[in-house]
Amino acid sequence: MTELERADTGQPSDADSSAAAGPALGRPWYVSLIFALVAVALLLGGVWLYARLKTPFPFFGTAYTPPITAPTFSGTDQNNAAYTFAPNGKTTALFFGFTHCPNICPLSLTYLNKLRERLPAAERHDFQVVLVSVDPQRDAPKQLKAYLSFFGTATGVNIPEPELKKVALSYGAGYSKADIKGPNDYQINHTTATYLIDQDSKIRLIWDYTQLPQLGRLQADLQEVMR
Amino acid sequence: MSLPVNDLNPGQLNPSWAELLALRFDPLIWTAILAVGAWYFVAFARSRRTQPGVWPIWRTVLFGLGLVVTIVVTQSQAITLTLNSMALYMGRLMLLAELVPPLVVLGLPHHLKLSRRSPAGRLLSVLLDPWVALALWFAIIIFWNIPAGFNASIVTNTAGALLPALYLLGGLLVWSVILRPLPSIQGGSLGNRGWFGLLSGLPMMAVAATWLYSPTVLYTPYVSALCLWNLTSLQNQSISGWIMMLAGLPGMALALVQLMGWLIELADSGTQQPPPPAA
Repeated sequence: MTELERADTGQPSDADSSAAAGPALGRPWYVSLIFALVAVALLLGGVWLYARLKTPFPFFGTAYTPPITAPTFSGTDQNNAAYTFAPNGKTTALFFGFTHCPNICPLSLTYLNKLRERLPAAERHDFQVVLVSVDPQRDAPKQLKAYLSFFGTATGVNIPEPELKKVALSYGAGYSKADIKGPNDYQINHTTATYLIDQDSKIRLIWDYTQLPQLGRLQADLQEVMR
Repeated sequence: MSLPVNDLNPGQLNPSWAELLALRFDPLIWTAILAVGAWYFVAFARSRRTQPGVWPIWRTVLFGLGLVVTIVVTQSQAITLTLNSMALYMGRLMLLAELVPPLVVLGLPHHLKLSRRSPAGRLLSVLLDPWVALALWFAIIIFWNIPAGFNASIVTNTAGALLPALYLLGGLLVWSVILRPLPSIQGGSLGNRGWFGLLSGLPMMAVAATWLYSPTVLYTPYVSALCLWNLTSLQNQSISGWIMMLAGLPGMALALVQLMGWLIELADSGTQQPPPPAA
């Protein structure tokens, strides 16, 4: 018999009725306060536990559970050579950006390069950074090469439209022109996520741009994925 | 947190309502909601059979509406666009916190009596203690709306998937204290409930005012976000402020009514003549 059904047949006892008469059922305020503090502690602890259950390793980035296969794509790299994305046994940090970006892209590349430098030499060799340009119109291979020379060993990829749109969508990334002042004078708003792809070509997690300065936590994520 | 598979074209920043509201299927959530609905409607049917009229149909309609809104808010494609529209995200959370709870609480039959001695009665008497409900509500609203908490909830592996559930839980607690669906285990003073309602509305109003009047985008994941409907991130933040403020108004209005009722009770006390003794 459920509580709802029981309600149809019974009246509250005298004890229940008298207890219900007072505010907070006659419970002293300090007992209520203790209950409140314990409840908040349980709430925050429960959230922490939930996160650990979802992904036993406490990833700093947003984990894909389960991981999904990274879509492949082809284009032209900064050396003007044909490029097809393949992990080749390496872990990849991939993001969509453009060379005229005033802040997010250069900072992202800087942090990812710093992250790479933090790794032991053996692991450093197995980590690559890939920038897919969302501005194929201006980011010709020559431009990509000049730009990326400031940021270590990243690979830049130019994918012409409309293929670029399909590739971005396949990763859940978006971009659109903004602040257009002329045919070659514009900015591009774009997704600021960095996708961490393991050596088996599975997207394991996403780092938001705002997380990149915390290199220690990024390194922990990366080394867990590389393990 | 696991990322939802983005079935909606993320490059399309002007989704139609049909695209936004197209349903997904998360077995866990659907099972939970259907189980609650089945439990409620079976109890309703039995009650109608044994005691017709005790459980009015309008309560069942409200409860059903609450479940439908919960499904739409948690199982539509809109959940894939959290990073593209703070306003849409806040609208979803506010529906869970300020619309679903009163529908569900009003949907509970008035004759529902829980014994304080039963396990459910003991648990609910603690959870619906105004101190406990208020503390949990403040924790949910404040912790997950300061920039560090909010940023973490939408871009890190902490509580992103859990936050809608927390807003629903917090809203259910607050509205249960205000509407008092379980008189056998809840205090009954209109004044207490009125003050509680006013206090519980304060954190939302504070957050809403901050969003409305902030000249900058407060949450870094939204600073350079691609936003739906050609809105800027700052416009989204401002609209979110309006959404939160408007969502909090019914609760505060009801609290004011309860406080007025309490004041009238106070004013009347001692001035009413006792009924004449029976001849």
